[in-house]
Amino acid sequence: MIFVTVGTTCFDELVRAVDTEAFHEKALALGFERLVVQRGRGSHRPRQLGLKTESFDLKPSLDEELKSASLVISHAGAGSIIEALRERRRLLVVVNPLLMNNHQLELAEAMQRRGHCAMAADASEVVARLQEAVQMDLTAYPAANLKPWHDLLEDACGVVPVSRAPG
Amino acid sequence: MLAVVLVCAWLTLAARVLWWMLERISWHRTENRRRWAGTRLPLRSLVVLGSGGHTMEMLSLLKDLDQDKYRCDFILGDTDSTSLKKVQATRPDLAENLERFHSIPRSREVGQSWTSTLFSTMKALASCLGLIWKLRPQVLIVNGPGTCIPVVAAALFFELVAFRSLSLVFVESVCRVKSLSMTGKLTYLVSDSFVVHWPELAERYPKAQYLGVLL
Repeated sequence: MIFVTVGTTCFDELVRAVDTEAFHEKALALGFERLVVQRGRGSHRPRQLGLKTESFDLKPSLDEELKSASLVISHAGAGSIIEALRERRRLLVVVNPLLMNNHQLELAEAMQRRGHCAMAADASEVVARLQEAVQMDLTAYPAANLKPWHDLLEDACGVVPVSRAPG
Repeated sequence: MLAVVLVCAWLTLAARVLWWMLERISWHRTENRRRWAGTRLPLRSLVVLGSGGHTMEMLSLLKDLDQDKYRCDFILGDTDSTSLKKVQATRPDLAENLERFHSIPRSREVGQSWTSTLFSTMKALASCLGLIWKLRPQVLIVNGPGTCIPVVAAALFFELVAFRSLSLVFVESVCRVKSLSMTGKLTYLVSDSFVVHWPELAERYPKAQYLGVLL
């Protein structure tokens, strides 16, 4: 299943890009059968063009979709990118060039450079990048380790950890 | 006689400001001041939740944070309706007591003109001053959204005039890879600890600390 998510933004260009015959053909050729689209605040609704397609606007949690997807195509929001990588999904990040000044590109590029995901600089590149996203060698996104952060907080505040407290 | 009193007052004030600046402002990472060593725990901690991605990042940072050491109050922008729901959904333990959630007026909505921004910023600042006075935070954790600015300003003001010392911890947003956000730049010099999510930033800014993957 391919899961497309635009978060809480309006990114109809991406929804339109996966609502084309070219996209469906390519996805079917790569062995996909279903397409689930989370449309966010956009208004375009995808049609049935080959893949079994469903769509919805917003949900409190996308866990279920993320867990059952074998490829996630996501807008470049930090929340969506990190959630997909945490679920260890194959990921194609699509930058919304209309939001250039919000620094989405920086994060998408950094993740791509480290081999965590594929990236499309705008929605028109999605079909061209699909195969790469499915077949690229992935570098697993490292697990979060909050210990250094807790240590830093303790240091910054001078809280002596119970285990190290004198007496 | 009056002149002498005035001069003395000015000198005292100038000395206080100078001393505060020496204590507060740092270009490089300094020895931590261990302000709260030996203080009774939990520390009164204040956390600013922005909206959207900022809230998600902050909640990840608060995961496994020992509430016996840091008792957190939260500040929300008053037009932000999703952050509280998100806390309730992901951290019901933190959302148990709604008295710990405080809303302040936003200093600027997207698209607001600059003159009206001036007034709304004053309003936000006044509300923050009241809140900081009441909550007396010992630790302030902020991670970037514009809502942080008046909160940080109010907390530093009380540190300057009321000798209420504060540990100010800034965490840059994960989407900042090469350059700091506006809030990051403004907070850089006055923060006690300055955390970034990318080694590129830590190389460029000597005070910034990269702690590995936190999210």
